[in-house]
Amino acid sequence: MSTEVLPGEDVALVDLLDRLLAGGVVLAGDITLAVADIDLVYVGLRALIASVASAERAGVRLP
Amino acid sequence: MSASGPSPESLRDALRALAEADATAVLGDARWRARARATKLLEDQLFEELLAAVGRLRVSEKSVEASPRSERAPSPPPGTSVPSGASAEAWWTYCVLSAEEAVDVPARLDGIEPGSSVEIVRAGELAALVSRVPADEYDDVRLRAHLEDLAWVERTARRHEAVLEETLARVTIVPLRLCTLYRDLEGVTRLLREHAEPLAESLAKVAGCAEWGVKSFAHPVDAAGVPADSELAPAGETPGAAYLTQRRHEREQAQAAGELRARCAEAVHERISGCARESISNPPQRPELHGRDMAMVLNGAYLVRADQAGALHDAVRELQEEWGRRGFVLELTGPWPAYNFVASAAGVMR
Repeated sequence: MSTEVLPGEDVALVDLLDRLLAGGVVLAGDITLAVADIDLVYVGLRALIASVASAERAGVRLP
Repeated sequence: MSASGPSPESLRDALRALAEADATAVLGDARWRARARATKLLEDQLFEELLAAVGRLRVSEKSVEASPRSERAPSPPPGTSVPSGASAEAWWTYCVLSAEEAVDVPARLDGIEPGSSVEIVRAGELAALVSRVPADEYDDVRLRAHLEDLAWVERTARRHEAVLEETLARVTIVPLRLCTLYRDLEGVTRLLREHAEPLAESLAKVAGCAEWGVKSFAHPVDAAGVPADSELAPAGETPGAAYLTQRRHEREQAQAAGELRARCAEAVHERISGCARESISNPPQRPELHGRDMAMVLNGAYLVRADQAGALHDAVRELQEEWGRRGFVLELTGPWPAYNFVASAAGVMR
């Protein structure tokens, strides 16, 4: 799993994901993941961003 | 203390009295610390378990849904017809707009795939913005993998958003959730026709408006200046009593700070809502997510008419002045596509 987060941009990324994955009209596309799947992805990504930020705060240099 | 010094008995008595006075405080302190430690451990454990659960869900769903490995394409959802000899491309869909306004969509918008450009698909009164993506990179399995890659998600989300923002400046749009994909353009036109009515309603609702975000942050309570122990403990107070006094003081401070935060959140939300056609107060983000060394007390989204944008900015400036004096920082973001105001109106359109 990549953890390449540009400094200063991860904050806005959270706002972006809060809107792009939790908001917007949900149309059932042909390939789009099930709605519940996207919700899981959203929760997982938020957890990932939080853990990356915590690690950086604790001084851990991520590759 | 007498000149001859305390007798062994009186010293022991004094120590015993001191220990008894402190016992309650020590017990209370230990209990408080133990609870904090247990909470932290449980929180970490729960966090790991949640991540693992998400992983297991994906794996089990994959094993149920995904087609055998020898077969490349995942099986289509029921009721979907896939042209034989599946095409090598799929269509990423950005937003819906009225067909009438499609002429105002900026020319030459870059799509999410390098080298791809945004195209317009029309169906009746409506239109959608789409761009080509390679089908094998965006099938069910690959898409799941991409969505676990933060760098991919960031790049894609920013490009998706950029297309919407460039369009938003000239045209009313209904933003679609990230990863709305079709195997062919007929899929896009079919959806536009089948859901013409709720999509048109959403368009009418957000016409002439943009979404703005207003957040409020509070400085941490302990930074607000809890007096040092010496100021709190009156002379002659036992350490145990001093400890309790300090705890009570901290409790009172935390309570007062909590009330002030609630007041700030309410006042800001109410004032900004006055400039908005609609408003919503989303759950505040945790500090790990917003990255500030402060507590988010308000995470509001507001649907604001273009002619009210000036009033909105004035309100934010005035509120910042008023609440800044009490240790709060406001943050305004926007204009955004109306993500927070189209989802509930339309629901899931299948």
